[in-house]
Amino acid sequence: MTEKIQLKEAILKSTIFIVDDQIQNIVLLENILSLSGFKNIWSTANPKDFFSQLEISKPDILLLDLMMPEVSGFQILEELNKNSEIKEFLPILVLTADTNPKSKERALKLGARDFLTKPFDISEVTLRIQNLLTTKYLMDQLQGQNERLEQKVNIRTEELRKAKEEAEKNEKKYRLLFDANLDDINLFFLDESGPSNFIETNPASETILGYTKEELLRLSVRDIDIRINEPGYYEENVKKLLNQGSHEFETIIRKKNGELRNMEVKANILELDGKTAVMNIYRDITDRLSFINAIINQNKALKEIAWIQSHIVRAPLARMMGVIQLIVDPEIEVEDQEFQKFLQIILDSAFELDKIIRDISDKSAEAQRFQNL
Amino acid sequence: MNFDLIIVDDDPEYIFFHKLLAKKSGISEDPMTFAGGSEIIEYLSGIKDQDFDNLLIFLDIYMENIDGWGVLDYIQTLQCPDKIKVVLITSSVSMDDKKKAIKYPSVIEYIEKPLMLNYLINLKNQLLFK
Repeated sequence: MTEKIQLKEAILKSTIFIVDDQIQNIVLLENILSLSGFKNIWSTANPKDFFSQLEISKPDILLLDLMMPEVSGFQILEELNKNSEIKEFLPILVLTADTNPKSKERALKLGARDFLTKPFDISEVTLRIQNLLTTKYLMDQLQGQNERLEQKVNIRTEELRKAKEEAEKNEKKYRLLFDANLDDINLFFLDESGPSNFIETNPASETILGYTKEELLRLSVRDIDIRINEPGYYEENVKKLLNQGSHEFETIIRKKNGELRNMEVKANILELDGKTAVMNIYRDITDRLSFINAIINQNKALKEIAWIQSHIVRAPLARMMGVIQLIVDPEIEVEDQEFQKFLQIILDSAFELDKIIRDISDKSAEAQRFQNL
Repeated sequence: MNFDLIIVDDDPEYIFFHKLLAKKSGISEDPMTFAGGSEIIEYLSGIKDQDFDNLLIFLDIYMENIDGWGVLDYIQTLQCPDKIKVVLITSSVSMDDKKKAIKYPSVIEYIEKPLMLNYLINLKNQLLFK
């Protein structure tokens, strides 16, 4: 109901242009339209005024007389066709006394919508104008809606384009991180039957495992991890991985050339194509472990040196201290023979100390050897 | 003195030095000396019916073969803490050795070398054996 009222009000607000060289026709039409409730009516008996008026305002409908002495309705129709600026739907109602079908056809070809035959029938005039205006109103609505829709589509398209661009950028970035990583990164699926063959790997696998990507995609962790046969090894690590989402552990990997290497494994759970997948990052820690062993050996050697210092060094030193104490104490009588013996003890102890220090220096050199491994 | 002094050390110069100090302090005119753990154990085990006189032993810890700990373990088995008393005299400054030593009932002193004359003079004035 409201929509109908809205429509009627909108139609009555429509701007109507009347171009007719016969003033009595104009007066008649204006009267009819005013009675029907139309308010915005502009009219002229001089077709030339029509085009200058078009620059000021646009009509919702044009009532156009075909037979005019100076400029005919046909000419105006042709002119309107040429004027490409008037893109919107402009219904033109042709007023004519000519019932010749040929001229009707010509007018239709030139863009006329409908005809009113003179003399006018009042109710026909109102009806035809209202029909055309309704069509025009609905067309405008449709066009507005289309425009809004198109705008929305454009905005959404732009958003999608940006999102796609962003995704491509991210993909590039992560691909670079993946490819340039010095650690070997391998992906495989995981289900109750165990690990699948590797489904993806980065170029580092060639240095760390010795396998090319093509070779590796035909293998699974079972083929490279030699601890996999230890009882509980696989089950425990998978359990921890599934519980925590990520898990770190150490293992031994057999490289393609048969060499065994100690590896630190960082495993992460991720979802890929709706399935549970594992990303394993392998880092070769063989060298690191051998460095640690070298440090342990070095510490052992240094401890030995420290023990020698505290125990072995003190023996001759204490001997010298004791004997010299006897010599310097004025209350103790020392016989000549004893004094000679004292000097001998001091000298022997000094030589002993010298030998110990040389041994320490040799031991230190040995400890240094571990460092250079 | 109501006891005999025994000096055990694998270093002959310490034997000489400790013997000299014992004489000068008046603690013993003619102490017995042994060059190792096995020697003193052999001597102690040879005493008939384990009928010991009072014995004060100056005992070194770090020796070849049987060390001072071995000797202390043997003395423990004799079960006569009133008759045998030990002064450990060692070049070790290790806290662990000191802690281990005081667990033996026979040990009355733990001395880091060198042994001092004044210490022996003080020791002489104490009533070590009843």
